[in-house]
Amino acid sequence: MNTFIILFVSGLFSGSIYCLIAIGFVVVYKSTKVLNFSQGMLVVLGAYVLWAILSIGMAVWLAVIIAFLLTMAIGMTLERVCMRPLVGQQILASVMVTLALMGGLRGLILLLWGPQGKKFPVDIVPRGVWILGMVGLPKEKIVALLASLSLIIILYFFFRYTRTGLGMKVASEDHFIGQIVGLRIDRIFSYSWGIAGLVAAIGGMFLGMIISIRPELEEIGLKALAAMLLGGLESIPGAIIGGLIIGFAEALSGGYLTAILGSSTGEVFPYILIIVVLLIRPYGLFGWKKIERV
Amino acid sequence: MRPSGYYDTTYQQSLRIIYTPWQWVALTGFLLFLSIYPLFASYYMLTVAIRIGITIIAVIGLNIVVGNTGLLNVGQTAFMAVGAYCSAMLMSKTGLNFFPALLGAGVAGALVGLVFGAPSLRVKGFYVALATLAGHFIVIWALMEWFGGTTGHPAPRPQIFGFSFKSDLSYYYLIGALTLFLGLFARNLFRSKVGRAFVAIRDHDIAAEILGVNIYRYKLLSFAIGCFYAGIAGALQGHFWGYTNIEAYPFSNSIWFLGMVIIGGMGSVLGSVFGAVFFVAIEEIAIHVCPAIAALFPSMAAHGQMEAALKWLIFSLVIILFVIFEPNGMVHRWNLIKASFRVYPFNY
Repeated sequence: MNTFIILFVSGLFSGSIYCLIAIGFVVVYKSTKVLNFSQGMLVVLGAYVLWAILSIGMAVWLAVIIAFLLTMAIGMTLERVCMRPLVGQQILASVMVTLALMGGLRGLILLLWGPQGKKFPVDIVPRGVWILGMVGLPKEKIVALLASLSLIIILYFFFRYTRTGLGMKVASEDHFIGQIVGLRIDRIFSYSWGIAGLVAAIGGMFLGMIISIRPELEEIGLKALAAMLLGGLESIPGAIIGGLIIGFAEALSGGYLTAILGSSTGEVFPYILIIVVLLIRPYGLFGWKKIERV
Repeated sequence: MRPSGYYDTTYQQSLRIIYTPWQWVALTGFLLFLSIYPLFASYYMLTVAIRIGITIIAVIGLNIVVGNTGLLNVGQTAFMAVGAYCSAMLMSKTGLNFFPALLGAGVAGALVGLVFGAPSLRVKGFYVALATLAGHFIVIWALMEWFGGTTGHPAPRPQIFGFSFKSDLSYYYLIGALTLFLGLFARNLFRSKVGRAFVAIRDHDIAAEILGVNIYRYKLLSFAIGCFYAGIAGALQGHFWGYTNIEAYPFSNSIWFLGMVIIGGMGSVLGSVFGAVFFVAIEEIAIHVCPAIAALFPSMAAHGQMEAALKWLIFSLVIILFVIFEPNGMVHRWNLIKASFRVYPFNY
């Protein structure tokens, strides 16, 4: 029972990181119908940008704001330069470009900052551990969990009540109809990538605080794909539930199945889940049942 | 565009691969060039040629799945790893001869490909990409945990009827022959009933089904053939290196293979060749240009891994530029050039 609680808590925390990344996937998919494979790398880039600004010696709050804005701008630039020319083209083109972006951003990070892991020079959130019964709860992980929860609530209302958010939904349904009802489709695409960049920066901040910053962390981004798929591609609440389930599944399988299946079982479990979801319920738990079954 | 003066009166004629006597001359000349290439190529260039051959086989396989059937396979590297491990283990554990082991590697690749191609029966588009992406990590994990993973296996060079392919020179001819054979097989597949069924599924799956194409069977067949090629390529690569190692099959390689398919030209064997040659050439250029750039930017070179970083950056940039500006690939450009020569001095 004791191990179970410890695994549960660690799953909760890694799940919150997956949520933060999965939201980025969902925001882009919801408005542009593009599955952005490079989101994981964008998260790592966000962490590096924040690290670079912090290591100049800027005040923490200012550095965080600048890093967020910068990553947002990077997201919007990527959309304008790489994705805009592909609007209306077949799905292969967008998948290929986002995959290539993943490699390109990785190359850029390697070139600028090298393969060694980095740590933030100062603590962004006060460190420390709350003891609750027999488990210790690190403060920065609690903050990460709360941040992803509040981000999801904000985005939920954004997509439900604001003009831009509703516009994004229309744009994902049909670009042409969106233009007929007077939406600036290009701006909507730009905003959605901006939001994805912002979410990536937030995710990167917590990633850098909890784990160190390394180019290989994009693999977490790929695992977050499982969270997104499980929750349903269009569903923001789905992203959080999917993320938490993936986190739990990874922690529990890592805790209990390693003896049977080998030491890195926890690592691969999200991918097994992807296959299972695709075979049983490809639209996810909360997605729209619109899959063409051909 | 057809060369002028050659008229097709039967269906067989219109399916010909080689039209004119000059194409025969060019083909013979090219094959002759390939066979005497080791005479004037340095040892290093010989290994580059072997790498190109192996890459061509893998890319042709991927092109069958992606370019012809329209299924996004982003796990080609993992299927290569399956082939490499399978043939290395068959040879070193059971003492099987090379050629049965090579066939076994292809079959193993095809079977694993079938497993991860199966979700494509229910879904399409990037869902297939997701399935094969997950497949990549599952396969690598399984190889690592259950099949001797990080230590790897020795993969001895092939030996047949007392003749050993120990030297790179003999291996070059082996690879060359296999590449030619598999390329020709794919080219013939594309103009057979099966190949046309693949194209029908790619262009419109519902229409294909109405025309009587059994979608499930042909999608799986496409995956099986493509992954068979991957298994063969992986096995050849493993025996070229002399060992198999899980580190040699990163996910990024699959992205580059997809990139080669797109840069070369989708659904074309010649395109696969162009893509593979182009990528290996870029890689070599990046390696040779790297010291000069490192001298220009010493602060970046201080991190080490500049070569890898440049490779990543250039590859991705090239892929993005091709997708945006020439989505039909180099083979399209090549056909345009050929056509303009044919109609010279007129415009059309």
